[in-house]
Amino acid sequence: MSKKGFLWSAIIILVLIIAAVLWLNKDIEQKQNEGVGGVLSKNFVEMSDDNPTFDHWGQNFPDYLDMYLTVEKEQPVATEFGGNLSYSKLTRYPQLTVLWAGYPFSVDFNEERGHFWVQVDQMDTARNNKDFLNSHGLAGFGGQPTACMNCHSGWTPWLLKNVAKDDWIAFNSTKYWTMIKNVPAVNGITPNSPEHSGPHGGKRMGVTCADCHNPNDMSLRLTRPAAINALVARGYEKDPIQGVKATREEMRTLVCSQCHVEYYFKPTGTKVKVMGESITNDSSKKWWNGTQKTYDEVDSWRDGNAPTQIEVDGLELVFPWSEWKKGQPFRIEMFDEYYEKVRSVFDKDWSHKYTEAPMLKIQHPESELYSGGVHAANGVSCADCHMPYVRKGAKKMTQHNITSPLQDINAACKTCHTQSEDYLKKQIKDIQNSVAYDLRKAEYALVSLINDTKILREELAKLDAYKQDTKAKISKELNEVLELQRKAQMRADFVGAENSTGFHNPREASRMLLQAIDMARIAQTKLVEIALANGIKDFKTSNLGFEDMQKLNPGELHYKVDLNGNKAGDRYYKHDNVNGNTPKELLEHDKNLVPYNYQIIDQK
Amino acid sequence: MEQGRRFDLKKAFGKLFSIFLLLLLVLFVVGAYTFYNAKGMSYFSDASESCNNCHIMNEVYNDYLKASHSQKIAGKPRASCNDCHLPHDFVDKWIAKAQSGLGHAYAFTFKLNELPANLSANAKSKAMIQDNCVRCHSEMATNVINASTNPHKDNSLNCVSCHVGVGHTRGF
Repeated sequence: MSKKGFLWSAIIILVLIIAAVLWLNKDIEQKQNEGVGGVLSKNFVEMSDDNPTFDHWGQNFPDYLDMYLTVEKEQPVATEFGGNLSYSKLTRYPQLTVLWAGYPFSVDFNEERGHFWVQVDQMDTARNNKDFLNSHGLAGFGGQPTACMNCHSGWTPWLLKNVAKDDWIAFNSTKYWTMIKNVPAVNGITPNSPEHSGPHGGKRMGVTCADCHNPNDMSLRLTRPAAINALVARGYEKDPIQGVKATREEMRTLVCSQCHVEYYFKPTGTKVKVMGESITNDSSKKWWNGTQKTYDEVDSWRDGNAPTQIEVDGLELVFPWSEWKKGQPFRIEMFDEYYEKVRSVFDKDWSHKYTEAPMLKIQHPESELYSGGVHAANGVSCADCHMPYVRKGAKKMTQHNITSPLQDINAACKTCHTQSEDYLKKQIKDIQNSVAYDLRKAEYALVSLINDTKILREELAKLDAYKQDTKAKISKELNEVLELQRKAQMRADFVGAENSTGFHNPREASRMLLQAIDMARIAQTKLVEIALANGIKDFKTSNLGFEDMQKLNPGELHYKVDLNGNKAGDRYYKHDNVNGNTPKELLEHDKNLVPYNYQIIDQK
Repeated sequence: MEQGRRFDLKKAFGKLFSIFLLLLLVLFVVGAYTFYNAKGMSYFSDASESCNNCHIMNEVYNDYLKASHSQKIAGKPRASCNDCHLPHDFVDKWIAKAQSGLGHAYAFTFKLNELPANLSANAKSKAMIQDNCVRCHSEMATNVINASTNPHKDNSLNCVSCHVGVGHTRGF
């Protein structure tokens, strides 16, 4: 072959090799995309934090989006201790109206119904409706701050960056209703249309892909500053991409810990400049009790109402975790220690209406309870059980319709456990019934204590020694009792608010409930001692049960007065399946739980 | 005239050669990018994360992270994938690594749809694993295994027949 011919062949071969390598490169890219969930390259859309909506990101991951959206279409079903039927928990557990007396939760508290609905539900809840709170004797509460929105809206990182200009304290301190008005219209939605107010990418959008996933490679990340700050306080190191430095295994739990935690709003003690509303200057806009409106309780700017700048008391969303060090199992005593340490800046969530005790309300501390359980000890992450691998066509995917593992015991439990599904289900039910028994016992003991304290307060008020400065003097006399109520109720609240009915760590749940009952009973004994010391002779303690609690049932939520175009007696919630009465079979179950009617409970 | 033609030929040849060189450069750049894109360098390490570059390994890798061998001591796992799945002798290790690496790359590129959901170890892999169990746990293993006898030949039990969850629960 001539030199020229040789060179030609070499060039052709080179071109072929280059083409082959380019093809290989494309193949690698395609498979990398499939690996993170099956991107269809032809329809690929650019993902970024500028548009965090699941409707947008979901175009790249249609199968995952379908899974996530099942909860939107699914018929709501109640289960013994959970489910996605949003019935009123106050009708199932009327004791809560006494335990939370003086706090908005005593008026409105429904079963939760999945990530898709969190923002819809926050906008609807009466706890976020100032007029409603005013008319229910809770005028001290001004509706919710944006701090509440941290976990409910997938728009949070966007709003924090673009509206609050990365000022974390200013973001938290802004009124919820002011912040929500700033959600932009994306995906071709017309501004201020019903879609812009809706749950699909609009103002009512709940948790979204971007909350847990990185747009570049869909790896796991933390996006919520409160979670990152709390983990740093526990001994983790910050990471610019992931949030904190952690292994993939840890991240499969930590992304859930962004929200499934106990938290509180810590006053910063400083004034901060935040976005306000010009409605403050419109003297025709009044709350129900006649005071000037400071914000418009809708999700959009209307009637000339416009953003202004105001100065408010700063507050910060904080997880009380600094006593809970990295690698340790959580213990309830860590909250005692923590809240004692911050008492000078944060002494209580609210003052109990009947006893004046300085109360703490615990939120949903799944991360804390789970950390000391047998599954955590064996390296099982949240995602392992709540997002098990399921087969969809030829692909195996993690389940993104995040729900109870009981919905698919085969996928969730049998990956590790070899016993039958029926056996596993029975074990879980047994644990939950046992913890539920302890919890009801603790609640009944606390209501008995509150009842007795209230009576003794009234008795003491009649005495000459307490005639002046009555409230404060009696509280001082009852100090030990009130502190016991605070600690005991915090424990019962912990297990009640934790969404596994003890399953995440049955031993710890039972232990704290035993403490709660013990503390409540000790406090009752103290009451007798105080009564005797003050010369009150016929004071007796009470021991209330299931039937006594049922008399406290507040029923569905209705308007008490004519309000915002609604007549007194109208149903508060527009949707029928929200805030309904407790399904009968659940009440029947509860009736058999305390005292423990094993002949019926063990049959189920 | 003739001189001129020869000159043209040389010039044309020179041009072709430049194209050849240019293409060679392109190949080098594209190749380097592909190598980078495929996380090529990671395969020269012993890190278990590299095995999980391939999403087929997701489940096995998650299992491994839960199992005893991935527990970290002084920042390093007790055993990486390679510690159990490759020989430890330098030459044997790199031959086996190259063999299975190319095999995996080929299968992943061209036979992805034919691969089963749960992989099983082949005879060669099983032998390597058994060797590695014994090598690390020799003190314990010498009480159990008499190296001079193998009465059941290939049908005999191996370590992972009983200790099924030590590496990962699936894929045996």
